[in-house]
Amino acid sequence: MNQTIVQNQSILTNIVAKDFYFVRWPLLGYLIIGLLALTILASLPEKGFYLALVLVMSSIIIVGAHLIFSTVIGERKDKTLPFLMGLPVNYNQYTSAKLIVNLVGFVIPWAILTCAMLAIILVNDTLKDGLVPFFSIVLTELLVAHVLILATAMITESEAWSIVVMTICNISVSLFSMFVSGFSDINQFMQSDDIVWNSTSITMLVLEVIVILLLVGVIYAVQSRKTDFL
Amino acid sequence: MSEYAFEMQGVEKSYQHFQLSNLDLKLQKGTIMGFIGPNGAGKSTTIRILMGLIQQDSGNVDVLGKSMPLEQVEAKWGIGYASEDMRLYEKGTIQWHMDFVKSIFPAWDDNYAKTLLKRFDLIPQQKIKGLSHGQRVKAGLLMVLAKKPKLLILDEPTTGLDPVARHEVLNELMDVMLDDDRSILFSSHNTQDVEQLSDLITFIDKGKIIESKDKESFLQSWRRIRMNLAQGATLAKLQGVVEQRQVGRQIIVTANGFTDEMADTYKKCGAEITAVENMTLEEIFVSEVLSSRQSSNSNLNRQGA
Repeated sequence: MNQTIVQNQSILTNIVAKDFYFVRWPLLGYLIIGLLALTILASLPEKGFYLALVLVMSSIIIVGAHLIFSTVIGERKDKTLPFLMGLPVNYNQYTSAKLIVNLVGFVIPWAILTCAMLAIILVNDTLKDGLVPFFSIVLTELLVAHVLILATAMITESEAWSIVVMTICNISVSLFSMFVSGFSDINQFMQSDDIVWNSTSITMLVLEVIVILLLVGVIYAVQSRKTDFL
Repeated sequence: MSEYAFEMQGVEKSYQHFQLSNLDLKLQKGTIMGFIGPNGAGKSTTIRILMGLIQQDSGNVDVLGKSMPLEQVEAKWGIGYASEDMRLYEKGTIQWHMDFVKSIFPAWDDNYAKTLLKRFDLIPQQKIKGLSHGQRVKAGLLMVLAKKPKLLILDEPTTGLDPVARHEVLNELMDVMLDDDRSILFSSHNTQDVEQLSDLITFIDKGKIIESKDKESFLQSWRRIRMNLAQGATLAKLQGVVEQRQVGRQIIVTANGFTDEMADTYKKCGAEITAVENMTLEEIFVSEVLSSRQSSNSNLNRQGA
C-alpha cells in the first residue's frame, strides 16, 4: 500500500514536472515583462501608471492563457493524451496534476507581480496607499478568472469554449474594476494615504477566495464522473 | 494467478450510432492476437476499454489480473500502449521522452532502448517535431517496448510506415515474443502483418466479434472452389458457403469448412471441380465480414416478417 502511494505521488510529480518543463521559458518571459512594467510604474508613477497597469495585468492574463492552452487544451489538440493516459495514471490523478500545474504555475508569477505592485504603491509617495485594497481585489479577480477558464477547459475539453470564456473574462476585467470602484466604501479611500480595509473590501476578497475554492470543487466533481477520456 | 493476459466477458458499450455488443474476448499469456476489423468496427473502442480509457456500460474486463477501469493504475504498470493517433510531445527530444518514461518505470531497459535507437535509426537529440511520421511511430514504439511491459496493446502500430520501417517494427514485436510471459494484442488493417505475427486472430465487425481462433484454423478451413457446371444443372446450397458467383458455366464458391463431402455433393449436382484454392487472410477476413453481415440481414428480415 505504501509503495502504491509512493508510486502514485511519483507519477503526479513526473506529470507536473513535465508540464513545467515545456512552459518554463514562456512563463519566465511573461514574468520578466511584468517586472519591467513595474519598473515603469516605479520610475514614472504618474505618467506610466496606466501603461504599467495594463502591461502587468496582461502579463498575468497571458501566463494563465499559456498554461491552460499548453497543459490542458494542448494534450487533446496535440494528441498527447493517449501517451499520458497510457502511463499508470487514472483520470483523478490527471486532474490533480493539471490543477497543480495551472494553479502553482499561475499563482507564483501572479503573487510576485501583485506583491511587487502593491509594494511599489506603498513605497512610492505619488501613488496613494489607499489603492492597495482596490488593487488587491482587482488583481485577485485575475486569479478567479484563471480558475474559471481552467474549469471550462478541463470540463468541456473544448478549445472554442475556453476561448469564449477567456474573452469574456478579459473584457470583464475593466468592467469589474469599475464595479469595485463603484462601492463608496472602496472609492472614498482610494485617494487616501492610509490603507483602509473595511467589511466591503474584505468581503469581496473572501468571496473571491470562496469562488476559487468552489470552482476547484466543481472541477473535481465533474471530472470524477467522467467515464470516457478519449 | 490468471492464465490470461486479459479477459473481456459480456462487454457492452453504446454510443449514439454505434454499439459494442456482448464482447467476449481473451488472450492467453505468451500469445499474440491480431485484431482485425473494417473502419468503425470497434477495434479502438475495445482497446480503449482494455486500457481503462473508456468505461464499459456492462460486462467484466480484467487485464493482467486487475479489474478495469477501477484498477487501471495497477494494470498500466504492466501494459505498453501505443495507438496510431497517439503523439509524443513535439517540443521534447527523443532522449527527453526516454528519460521521462524511464523515471516512471523501474523496468526500463536502457541497453535495450539504445539498441532500439540504432535499429530504428533514431537520433536521441532530435526533437519530435522534426521527425517524419514513420520516425514518430518508431519513437513511440521505442518508449513502449523499452519499458518491457507484460502486455503490449497496439492500435494499428504499422499504419503509415514504409515497408522497411514495418519490417523493423515487426521484427521487434517478434523478439518480444521470445519472452514466454509476454503477450501482444495489436489491431491492424494490414492482414499481412497480422498473418506474419499472430498466433490468434479475431475478426470484429459492427461492434461484434465475428470469429476468434488460431491463425492456422482460419487458413485451413477457408477455400475457394472453382468448378464448371453442366448445362441445366443446379448447384446445391451447402452450409458454410459464403459466396457463390457464376460467370457462364464457371462457378466460384467461397466456403468456410470445405470438406470432401461437399466436393462429392457438388459432383453429384453435375459440377466439375477444377481447382480448390487456399485463401489469404485478407480474403478470409472479407468473407467472414460478408458472411456475418448476410447472417445479420437474414435475422433482421426474419424478425421483420
